[in-house]
Amino acid sequence: MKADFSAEALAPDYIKTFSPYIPSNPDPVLMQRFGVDRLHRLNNNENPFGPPESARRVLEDFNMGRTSIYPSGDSYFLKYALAEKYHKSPEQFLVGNGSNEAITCVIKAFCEQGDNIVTADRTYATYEWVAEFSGLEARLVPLNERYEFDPERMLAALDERTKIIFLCNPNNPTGTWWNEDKLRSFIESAGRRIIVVDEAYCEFVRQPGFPDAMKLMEQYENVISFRTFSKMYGLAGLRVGYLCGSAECIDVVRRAYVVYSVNSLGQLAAQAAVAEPGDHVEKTLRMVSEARSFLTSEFARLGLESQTGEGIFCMVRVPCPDTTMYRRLIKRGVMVRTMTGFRFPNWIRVTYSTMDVMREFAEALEQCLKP
Amino acid sequence: MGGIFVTDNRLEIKFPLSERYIGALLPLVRSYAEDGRLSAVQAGKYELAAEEFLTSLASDVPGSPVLAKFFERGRHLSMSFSLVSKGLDLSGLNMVNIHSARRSGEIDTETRLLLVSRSVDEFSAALDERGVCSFNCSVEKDYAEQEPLRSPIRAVKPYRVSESADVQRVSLLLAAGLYENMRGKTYCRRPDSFFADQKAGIISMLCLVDANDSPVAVIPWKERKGTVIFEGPFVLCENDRDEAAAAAIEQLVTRFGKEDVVCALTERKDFANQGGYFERVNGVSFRVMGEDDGGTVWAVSEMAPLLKKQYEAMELLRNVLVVKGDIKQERTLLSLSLQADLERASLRPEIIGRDFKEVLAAHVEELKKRKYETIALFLPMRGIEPAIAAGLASEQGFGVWYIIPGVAGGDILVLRYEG
Repeated sequence: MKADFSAEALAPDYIKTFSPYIPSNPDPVLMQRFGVDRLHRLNNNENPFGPPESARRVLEDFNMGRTSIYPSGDSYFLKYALAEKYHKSPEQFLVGNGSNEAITCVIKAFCEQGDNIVTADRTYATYEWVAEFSGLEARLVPLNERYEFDPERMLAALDERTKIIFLCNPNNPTGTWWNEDKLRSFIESAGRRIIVVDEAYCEFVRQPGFPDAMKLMEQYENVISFRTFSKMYGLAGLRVGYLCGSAECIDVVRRAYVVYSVNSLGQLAAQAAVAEPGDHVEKTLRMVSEARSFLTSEFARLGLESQTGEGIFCMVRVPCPDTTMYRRLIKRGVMVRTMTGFRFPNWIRVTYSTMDVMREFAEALEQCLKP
Repeated sequence: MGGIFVTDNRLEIKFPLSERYIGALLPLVRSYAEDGRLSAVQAGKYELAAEEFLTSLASDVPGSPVLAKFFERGRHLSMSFSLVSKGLDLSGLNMVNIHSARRSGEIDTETRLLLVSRSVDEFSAALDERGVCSFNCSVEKDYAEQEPLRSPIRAVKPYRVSESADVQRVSLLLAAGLYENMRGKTYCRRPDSFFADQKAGIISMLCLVDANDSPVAVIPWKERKGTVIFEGPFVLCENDRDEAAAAAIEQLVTRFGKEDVVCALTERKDFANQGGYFERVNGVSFRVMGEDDGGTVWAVSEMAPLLKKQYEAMELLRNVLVVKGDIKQERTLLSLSLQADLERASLRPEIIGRDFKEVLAAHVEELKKRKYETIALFLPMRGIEPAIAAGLASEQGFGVWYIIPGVAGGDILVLRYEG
């Protein structure tokens, strides 16, 4: 029996050809291997301030006795807190184990074999991955020359089997964004498909004309917004993301959702962050603004091309393979994200952080550029 | 015990190894080869290879069941023979057999396999984890030769990637016309042979065209177990040549950004690295595609300093674990891939035995006689036997050429015969 068994043979072709994502090694392993005594994580767009004070208190006061009790299966209180904040019905929300689970639910709920999704070629990769390992076609439309989603080419990529369009606004990793007029015009031209607006980084944007999908969905029932507590709210380690759409859309998505996936700590901390953000958002935005202007001038001083849009990150093009630069920087205690996997070879993405860390990164980068 | 399976492009037969069955099979093999696939001369080579291979196996393990497959694979008509290796002295199936005691009848096994390897265009052996040993060889089909093109175009931006077959054909012919070192390549002179291999997933190319759809650069590439090996870029325009080369390389790297590719490299010394997408060590330009966080490789003490130096040059973090030990197997089996243009012979051990040094030396001797430009030996860097083999190869005149990082969960050491 053992000799005849082949797990590979049982897998569908689209799984056989799919390569698993290999996450980074844990920090202690990396520090030990690279011989560094500290590691600045500038690779995952995490908020260096951590969560708001209200969420910290909830985590510190967590009743350990509750670890033996299942969490609320559908994040009941968190949904109510979100509904209150955004003036919507709790039934319009679905909370997931990070927005990756939300992406999976939407694709599973609306697509069947032969369908396709449309998104950009250089954006958050999970839309493409989930579609592909679900046996669906991911139609990837090149960004335009300004590294923005290209509405005309995306519309041209649609056909009768296109069920979902994924827009990342602002886009990870380029930080480019569509204004409300452009988004409205696109939604009106895209027909009756699901339009997901991934707003994972929307809390970092203070630009006039930046759209709010939460409001647009009141007019366009096919619009779904994805948001997360992993970025602005510093709860990446607890994995809480959510989506919001019309009650009808969310009712369909919920059928592809396995309940109880969000743990109690995550639900409580997210609920506190929604209810009482305090000055967390403003403080983070100040940090981002300061880091952005510092790095922009440092990149210019070093003669490097950069892409500094909206979000908690920027990109810079280095004169060697990004994967080599990654290894050089990590030996100096700084971890960045290589962009080859995002189809930006020789670019690295850097998460904004406090000024002491930004100065350390700039210094390390300058050293790594020396022959 | 027996069985036959025939389709339009495939012939499979399972039978016990004996002269009677081999004799009955050969006319069928000949018919298969001649059935619109090979010229009479090539079909004769194909039949001879089958005969010699099967006779050789029958003398080693008479009566053992063998699965013989005859099939088209890209530009080749191939054959493979698979059998369970238990009871079979696999060393007799090396291209060069050093164990002369294995003579049988009028013609010894060594001579037979040399004959086979000379009459076919590709020859290799492989052993899988279930102990099934497969021997493969291929004969190239006939393709019409085309006249190279010698007039580069004046390129107009912007550039883009083209998948058009016409563009690919013109690109190959231009590469043959404009680059002396490409003229000898079968696939440049006979583009249809390239397309046959491309259809079979053996080779591919990236073609960059200008605003008028005229080819400006081409990069032929092959992928093997997560490693992309490419040639070029061959610039086909007369203006903005560096820019065209950089754009083609960027497109190539971008193409593999989200694929299951661990490393991309070129062995070409004339690679100019426009755009800075690659690192160069020992004349080989390479690029690790992902975030390499280090690992452990195995080496004998004599090799460890050389490997450490190589890793330092590649800026790769590796713990070089110095190991001692013995080789457990008695006999070695080397897989050999030969390039028809004599540019490269690649050796890969399927079994490392205590006779490794002698077997390797015998192969080198034979390959030198045939004037192969490069003799490369590929060794995994995990396990005691490969580590010892690397040391033994070093004693035989092999030097560290390059390392392919992260392939199949470990690194591959590539040694080159330096004499």
